Amino acid sequence: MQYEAIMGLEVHVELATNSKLFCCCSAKYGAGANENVCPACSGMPGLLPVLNKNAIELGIKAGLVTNSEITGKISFDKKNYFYPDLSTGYQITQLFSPICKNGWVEIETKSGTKKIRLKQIHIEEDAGKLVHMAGSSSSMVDYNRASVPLTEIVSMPDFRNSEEVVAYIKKLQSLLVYAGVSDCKMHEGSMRVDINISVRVADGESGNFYNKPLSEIIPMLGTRIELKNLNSFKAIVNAIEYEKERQIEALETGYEELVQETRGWDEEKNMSFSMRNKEDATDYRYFPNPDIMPVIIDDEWIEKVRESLPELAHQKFARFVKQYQLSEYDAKILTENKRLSEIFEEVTGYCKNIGDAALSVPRSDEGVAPYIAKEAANWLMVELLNLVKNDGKEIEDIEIDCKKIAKLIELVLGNIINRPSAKEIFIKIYRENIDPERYIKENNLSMISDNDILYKACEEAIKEDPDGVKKYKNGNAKVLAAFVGSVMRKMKGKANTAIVNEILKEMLDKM
Amino acid sequence: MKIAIDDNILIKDEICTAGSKMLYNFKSPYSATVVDKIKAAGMEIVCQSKIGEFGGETARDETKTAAYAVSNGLADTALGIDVDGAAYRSAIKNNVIYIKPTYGTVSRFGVVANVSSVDQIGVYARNFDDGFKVLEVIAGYDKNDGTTYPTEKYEYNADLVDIKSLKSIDSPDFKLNDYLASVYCIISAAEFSGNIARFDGLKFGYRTENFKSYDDIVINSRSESFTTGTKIKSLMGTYVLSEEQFEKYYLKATKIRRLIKQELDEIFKQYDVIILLPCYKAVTLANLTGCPAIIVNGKLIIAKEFDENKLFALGKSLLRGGI
Repeated sequence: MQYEAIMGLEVHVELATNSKLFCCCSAKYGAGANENVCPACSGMPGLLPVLNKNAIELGIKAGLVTNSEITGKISFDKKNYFYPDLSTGYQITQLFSPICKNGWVEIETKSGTKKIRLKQIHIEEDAGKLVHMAGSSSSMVDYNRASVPLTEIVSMPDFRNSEEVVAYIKKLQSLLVYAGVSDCKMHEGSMRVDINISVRVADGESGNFYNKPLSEIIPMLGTRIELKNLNSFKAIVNAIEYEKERQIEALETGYEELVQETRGWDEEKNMSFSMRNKEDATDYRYFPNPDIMPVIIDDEWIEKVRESLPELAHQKFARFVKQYQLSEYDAKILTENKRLSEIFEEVTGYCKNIGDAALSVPRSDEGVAPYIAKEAANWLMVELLNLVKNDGKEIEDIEIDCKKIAKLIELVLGNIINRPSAKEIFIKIYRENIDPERYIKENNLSMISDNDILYKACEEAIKEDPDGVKKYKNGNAKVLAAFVGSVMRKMKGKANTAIVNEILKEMLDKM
Repeated sequence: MKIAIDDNILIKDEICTAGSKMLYNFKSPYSATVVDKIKAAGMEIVCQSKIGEFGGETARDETKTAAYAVSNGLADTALGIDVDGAAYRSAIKNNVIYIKPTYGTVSRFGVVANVSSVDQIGVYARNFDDGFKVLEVIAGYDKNDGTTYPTEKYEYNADLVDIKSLKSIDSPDFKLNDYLASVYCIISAAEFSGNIARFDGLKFGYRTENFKSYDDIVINSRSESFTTGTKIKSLMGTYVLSEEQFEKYYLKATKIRRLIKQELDEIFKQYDVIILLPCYKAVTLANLTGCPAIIVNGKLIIAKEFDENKLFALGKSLLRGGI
């Protein structure tokens, strides 16, 4: 029997406001325990929620970049439950009239593009955090995060595999970071992903789900499991695969009965575990919060917010293609991540200032020359992204001196150093923030471009490898690279490869 | 002007129990907006007057109440929030007047909440000039209370109303009369249950000595400290908000509440004020609709929103023995 997984996502993102949703406390991450706390967010009596207007505007922005309908009159509700990190005994959220409805996001996977429908986006307050004390049975409560504004983006069950899920989350990150809605850092908890997953027999019906409302889809789904604690892409992919297998096995063998429940993800054991099932489900007793008057969002306000949106990814992409004459492929990779696009523009900005004289390229007021932009793009897309990825980091978290990268590009294009040395220096800039020019001097990395020295080395290399010469003469042009390698070894990696190439070709062709 | 302040209106660095065992040791870290305003106006807070738990009933010791303090000259006026008619009753019993302004006139910031959509600070006084003078001081927009109207300052003047042309009606027929009590019961219980959820014994106030877990702390602290009245109201609130009962009770009650307001507005198209006997239903009518009301000479008089001056004028003439 063939099975398929049907998934819907609930993504929480922290809104990038300075202050909390209902009080003036700072909403910044990383303060000492209970530093950003006032009587309001710690649940003292007599306090009333004062709505943060900026949070509403960020909610509108989230709606605008996800093609959502913005609700004309929104209100806030109380969700009641007891938990030590919830200072007031209720969370203020939006159940009855969420800020956005019926949006969609387009994702791209190997099998093409696909629209993911959004059921709604609502604004709510975060809860505090419990800190478990080592060697003690008690816990401490930190209310710094209490009342920090969140939006929850609820998708329709439009996902069929983990590739789509990852593409969607990356797309949301790109959209929301560009719009300034959130910094979307999964490892800091400013983006949290919950996945509703169920499996069903693949009967071909699910293709029609995309046109159906939720009420018609739900009866056709299997037992729904909510996956929580997913704080990395790796965890998301592994959890989906594990859970899909577990559910299929349960259906096939009958050893385990599937029940509607919330399951957490244990990254170390690489398995999901039951957190609570339907029987323990709390009745949240939602009701409209009488302390917050409904907020009217009229077209004028929406337009004002729309005008205040910064340059978005697709706009930057178009500009990069036009302004820097980058390929669409390069422009896409560079602009998908806002921080990367900013690094690129900072680097090319410096190239414009320092590069021209050294490269004897006429200075252009239009900006950096396309071939310099392409050079910068290559370094960032290949070397930088690789380094960041291998370190298990996010591009948002790294510090890199763009001025030094620009200098490096100048040195490469000016034939002062060769590419292998440049790569070494790039890594050193990334890791140790070294000064490229000083490093070249100290390590004697300047390229040898002296023709006499290079001629001698080339002659030696050819003499040492008669077989190679034969192969070259028989039309195998690839051996040229082997000769270049041989010369480079003789010159301890410092030869100007372009010149070596020319000399070798000339010599071999003459033989 | 000497003013008494009910114990559920917070004063910085003072213990404010809101009449409860739960807050027996709660020293407020801040003052209510009205307290700041009174101090800024140079008025003197002479005492904290006692209330029943969270203001839901009159304090057991009558001599410690706001109405008693005003009646016996310990204070000229007093601030108190009516819950379930307790303030109106206390005023009548002590033969003082009580003015409840339009909902949203006075900031609730720093008031231990009971029924958020109804709670409104009112003034006990011996005469209307004093009462409205204090009301002028405490009324006005507060950025800390999103339910206050944007009017910065209110000025009350009985002389602006021609008392002879004032149209009043005594105990008019009210089609939804039979719904008033139940609608109020449901809404007040629901909001109350949410408002007292923050009292969990964890952060401040009374904490049980008898606990092994978080659940124990919450359950035992609340069980040991709340009065039976509070427990019943809270249980009723959680019941009417539960998933199965929400539509049947809470949602229906909010719909009927709107109809009650509409019916009252219809009456106010013909009459300026309604004079009622201050029974439970009459009290809930004033409170559910947010309309201003006064207690004078054993009568409850309600006017349209922001028609306080009519109440002022009529109240003054009644105290002079006009009727």
